[in-house]
Amino acid sequence: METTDAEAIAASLSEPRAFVAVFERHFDAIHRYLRRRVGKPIADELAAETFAQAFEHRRRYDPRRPDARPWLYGIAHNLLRHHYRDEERALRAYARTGTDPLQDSVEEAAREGPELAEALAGLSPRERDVLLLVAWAELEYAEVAEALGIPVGTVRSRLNRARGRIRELLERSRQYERETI
Amino acid sequence: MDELQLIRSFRTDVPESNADARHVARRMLLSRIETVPWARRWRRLAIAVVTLALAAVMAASALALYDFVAGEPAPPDVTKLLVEEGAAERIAPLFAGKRNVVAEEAHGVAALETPAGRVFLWTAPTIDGPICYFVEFERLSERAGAPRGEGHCGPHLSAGAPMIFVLHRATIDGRELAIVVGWAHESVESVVLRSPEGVERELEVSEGFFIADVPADGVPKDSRDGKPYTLVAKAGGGAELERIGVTEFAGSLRMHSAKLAGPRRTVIETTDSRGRPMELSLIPIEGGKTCVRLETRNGMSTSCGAPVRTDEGIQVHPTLMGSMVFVSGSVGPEVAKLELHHQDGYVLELPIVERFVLHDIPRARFEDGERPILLVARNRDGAEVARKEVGQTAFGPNSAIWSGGDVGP
Repeated sequence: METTDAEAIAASLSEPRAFVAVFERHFDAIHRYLRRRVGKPIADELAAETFAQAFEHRRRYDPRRPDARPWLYGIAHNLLRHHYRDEERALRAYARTGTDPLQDSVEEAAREGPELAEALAGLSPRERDVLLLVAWAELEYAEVAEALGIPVGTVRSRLNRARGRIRELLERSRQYERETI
Repeated sequence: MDELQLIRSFRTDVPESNADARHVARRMLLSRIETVPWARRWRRLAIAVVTLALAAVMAASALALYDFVAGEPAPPDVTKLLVEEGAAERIAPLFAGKRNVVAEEAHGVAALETPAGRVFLWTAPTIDGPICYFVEFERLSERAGAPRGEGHCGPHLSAGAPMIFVLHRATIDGRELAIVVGWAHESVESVVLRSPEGVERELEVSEGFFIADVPADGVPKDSRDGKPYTLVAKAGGGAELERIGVTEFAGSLRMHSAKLAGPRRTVIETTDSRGRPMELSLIPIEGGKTCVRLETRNGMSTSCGAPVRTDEGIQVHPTLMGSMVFVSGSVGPEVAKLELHHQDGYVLELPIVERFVLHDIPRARFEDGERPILLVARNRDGAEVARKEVGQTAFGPNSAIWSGGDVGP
């Protein structure tokens, strides 16, 4: 039977190599999430550092939580904070040019891609964190709260605000489009 | 397609896995695993033990006064009450009708132990609207079988004016409570309450809110009336961002970041439906503006910013304060007579003083079929010049008015 993350982390306290199981289980998801946010070069670095830091701080892990994803995303976000400006700059460039600077190819820019990029760039980093942890990392509200170290109520209110702003920005953008046409 | 679906569809072509990145990261992790010396591990462990011990001591002292849902574990009964669905649904109607407030997502933020039972702080998220909360006195709610307390909506804050507080008073079982509820801008890392003697305690900030009790007789009307408690907002590095004295005036004026520019003047001095004093007064503030202050047996509210008197028609609204509902506001200069029409056809003429109106609605008029529904303004000749419907939110089935006695004896 497969061990839980909590069991693997507990085992790694006496046998450090046991931590590799946590890496194998979650690296791809964390890397993909970071890549969608800040692009491959930065994601490569942050994802690696996330697991290195997780290993260093594994004694702080709450063994009552079998799933380590919220904890890992929390570490990833602490690292991501230093790249909010890069993220916003890339989103704005996408909105302006219609070409996503984070993508290797240019062919599949969705019709709403630039609009969404503009809308995401218009959110505060805190709102963006909550929204994308729900939408991309598929964490539950309680897990997002755990990852970001904020109350569940704050997750709800930030998500609501973010959704409201996305809706508003998209509507405004479409309105502009209609008027321009 | 809703916003979440759209966001999910954004940048979906990113590969599920990346062999190179995985290989490099794995190697980096293995090198950490192999090379962390035991001496370093033990030193870190020792630091962690000391830190945890300190944290435990601090948490123990904090929890003696506060039980919070956020952060460290709260006692199970408090947590249960603040997060359980039923409790949120019970509170949600109190937020209904507020601009941009998602009432159905009302939830608990904090709980405070006081000598007169627990005080809960509820809030509901907003979409670019005001910050709204409801402060509930558990013992009064238990007796009444419905939420009892006071609600407020106030502005979002800026780094320039990073903290606001409102003072809530209640008398429960003969004990007077003075509860400070405030909220802080995101630049504020911590809030400290300093007693007049200089004793400090740090207040937990949860979702930007903080709550504390101060001695009911320790809140002077203003700083000339006595040395007050002080709220100090601090930034991450400990730098002081703002300091506010906990006085009655500050509690109401800080809501509007206003500074007093002259003495308060009472315009209407009357009694409520039970014969208790009730007044409307004007307070000049900097910038040539004026605030309107309403003081009743159940509390005090101050509004600033909007024009004090309306230029025309009727600007009179019902207000729920504790278990009272009163109508207050102003009318245009052409209005000589203001009538309050009720569902059963009863018409009451409201006194107008300097174009201001203040009238308490008696409990007998809370029942469906007898409630006030319409305001009609007439000029000197008796001709109708304006009419305005009276909102029914305050009379809704879950409103605090249905809970029996007042907040206080």
